[in-house]
Amino acid sequence: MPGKNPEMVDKIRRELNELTSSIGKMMELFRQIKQPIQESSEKVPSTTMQLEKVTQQTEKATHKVLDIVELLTNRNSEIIEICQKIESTIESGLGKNAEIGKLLDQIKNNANANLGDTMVIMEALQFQDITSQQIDHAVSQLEDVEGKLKTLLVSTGMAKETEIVQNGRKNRAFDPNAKYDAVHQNQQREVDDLISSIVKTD
Amino acid sequence: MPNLKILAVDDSPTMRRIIVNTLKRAGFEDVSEASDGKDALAKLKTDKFDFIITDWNMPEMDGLTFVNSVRSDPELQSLPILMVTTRSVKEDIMQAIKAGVNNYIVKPFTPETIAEKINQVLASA
Repeated sequence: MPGKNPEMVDKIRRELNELTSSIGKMMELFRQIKQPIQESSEKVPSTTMQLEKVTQQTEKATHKVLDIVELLTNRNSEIIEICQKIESTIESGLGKNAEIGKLLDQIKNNANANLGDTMVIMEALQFQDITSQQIDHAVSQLEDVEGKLKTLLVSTGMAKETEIVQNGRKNRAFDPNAKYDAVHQNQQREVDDLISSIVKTD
Repeated sequence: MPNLKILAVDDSPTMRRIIVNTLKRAGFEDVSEASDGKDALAKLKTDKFDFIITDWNMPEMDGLTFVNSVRSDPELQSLPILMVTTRSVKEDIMQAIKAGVNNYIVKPFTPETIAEKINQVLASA
């Protein structure tokens, strides 16, 4: 070969050998990491399914509690109505009776207290909507990771696009900052103050 | 209590049930439900309502888009809207007010808060 420089050829050969060896090592590394990446991406759908089950089960349980709360509300409202009817029946027949009136008032007060308590239960049950939004947020992030892992498998040649199972993503609507604050009155006060300031500015 | 016809819009069946029960306890008996903005707009086309209570984060059509649609419809634009959402970030609240909500409640709310806000909105209308 004209102008052939044996030293240079030797150097290029050595570098090509090193490059081949490096590529070989990289391929081996890819082969080693392919399985864990594939496994990780395959675990996401079952994890999201488990999380969705949590949402479904808490929703079911919440509705059971709501069924009972509604029954209690109706029963206590009926008790108050019955007391009022008894009061007016006695008054129209026997005239006012202080002792009976006092007892009926006690029953009505208790029934009203029960009604108040059912509202407190209802207020607490709002946790279900808030935790389901938190779970939706977690699921959405897991689905993002799954997508990235699959992209990595294809872009590095570790898997063919046709080998990748694409799971359809649900349309999820959630507030990523949703939180259940047991003492939530302060939060509402802050919102009220902000709205007042906006209205004043306008 | 005024005999208001209220439309409660929320994608969570639990929240819809809680809102309906809370409103009934406060004396508002006539409450209908919609599962998102799209469903609500369809109901507003076929039925007449006096008041809207809407969530923000919903599939199909979110609460903010729904509020914008109501405010841009000449037949619906004067309807009072109360937003009930978990979103408590200042920027979100300002965005909702700019879109045209009359008042804003952060979840979880107390039964007193929802009745108080409805009455405030009605008083200022």
